[in-house]
Amino acid sequence: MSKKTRTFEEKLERIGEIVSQLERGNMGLQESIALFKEGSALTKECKRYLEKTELEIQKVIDESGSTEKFTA
Amino acid sequence: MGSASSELPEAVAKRVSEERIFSVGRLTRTIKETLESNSDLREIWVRGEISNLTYHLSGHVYFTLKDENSQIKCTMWKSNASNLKFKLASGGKTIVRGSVEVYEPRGEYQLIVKEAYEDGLGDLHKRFLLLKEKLSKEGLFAEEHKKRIPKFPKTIGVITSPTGAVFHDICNVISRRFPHVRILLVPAKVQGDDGAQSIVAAIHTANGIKEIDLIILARGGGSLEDLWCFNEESVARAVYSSEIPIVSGIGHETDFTIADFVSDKRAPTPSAAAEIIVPDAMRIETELQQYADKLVRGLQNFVSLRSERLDGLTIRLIRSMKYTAQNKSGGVKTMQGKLGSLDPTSVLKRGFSITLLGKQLVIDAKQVKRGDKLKTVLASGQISSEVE
Repeated sequence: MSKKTRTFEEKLERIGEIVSQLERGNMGLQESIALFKEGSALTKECKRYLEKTELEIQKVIDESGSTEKFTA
Repeated sequence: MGSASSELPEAVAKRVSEERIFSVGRLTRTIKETLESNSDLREIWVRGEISNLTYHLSGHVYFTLKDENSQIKCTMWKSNASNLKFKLASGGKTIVRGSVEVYEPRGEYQLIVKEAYEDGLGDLHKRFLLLKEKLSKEGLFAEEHKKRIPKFPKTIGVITSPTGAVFHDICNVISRRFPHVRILLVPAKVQGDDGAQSIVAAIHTANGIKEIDLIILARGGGSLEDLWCFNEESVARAVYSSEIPIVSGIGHETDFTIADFVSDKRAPTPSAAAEIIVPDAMRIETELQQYADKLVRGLQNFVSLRSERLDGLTIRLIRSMKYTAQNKSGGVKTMQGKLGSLDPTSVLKRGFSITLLGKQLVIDAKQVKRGDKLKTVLASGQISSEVE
């Protein structure tokens, strides 16, 4: 499982899977705890992403893609 | 009437009777009836150039339509003028539809215009249709070529004019809905002769910036000519070959450009494009909270289900142990009873006794002879006696 390369979207999807797996409740204790831990960690990561990522507006200034801060 | 005719000048009276002389009103009415009942003058299309244009405060529009030789006054009532898709302009070549009417107080005939269209767009429209058909045949609009639009883009490239309201509108919508992205303005000229070239260049530039995971191609509303660069083949091909998915938001809801057909998703306006491409952060946060709650509840359920089962098992275990113990203790009593019946002392209690000759049990009278000393063991105590 390459957790680090997961996008926000994939993380949300994975959390959804985990929740429904847990809700089905037909797994062993260790497996359930592992899922719970994974789910909680992903939820925290997503929340942190929303808290920490702020809107950033920039302007591309040449064809090579250099950018500068956009000022109206 | 006789007296009236007498007032007629002699030259007139000689040639016409009083009743055959028209009043101005009657003449005008006759002209009106003649013109307005002539089907050649009703619901006709007229081409000409606009002059003497007045947008009246009342909402009615007055103008003159003319060509090299003639002119006709035109009136467009407010109810029709409000449906105009463009602003009439002095000198503008125009095609109108309407009927000839006579305005009696002034004795003027005029064209009452119901619809008006910019003339000379026919060629553009033809080009549009031809290119649309060509690219459609080539499969540039095909659904299977549409790239997937990421639900949570991180960096959004916005190709539009750096001046004007469009970029601001887009930023505002994103800032309100999902202020957790990076917006990169990729400036382009979005009208005029070099517009197409500029848009193509911007699409290439955006594709060279690896962080961009979604492009918005946008322009505010305008006339068909204003939006024309989005109908150029070079733009269509650049949109098609973009590696990054493109959402188009060009003009108003009613404007469809070739770029809209090729893009991976068409939004009716620039703001709508911004609306479409980012999720609603509030909703995502609620969803995350619900997930967090469900995770905890899921685990709690897991534990409580199992602890209930454990409780149930414990109770059964204790019960079965007791049962076994009881069974076993019942067995012991039976054994004791059985053992008890083998114990000679209990037989003695029932009145039997044991007779001994010395240390030997006497169970046969032949064992003894007269004079033998016998010992009789009772349930309690013993008796000594002699055989007679």
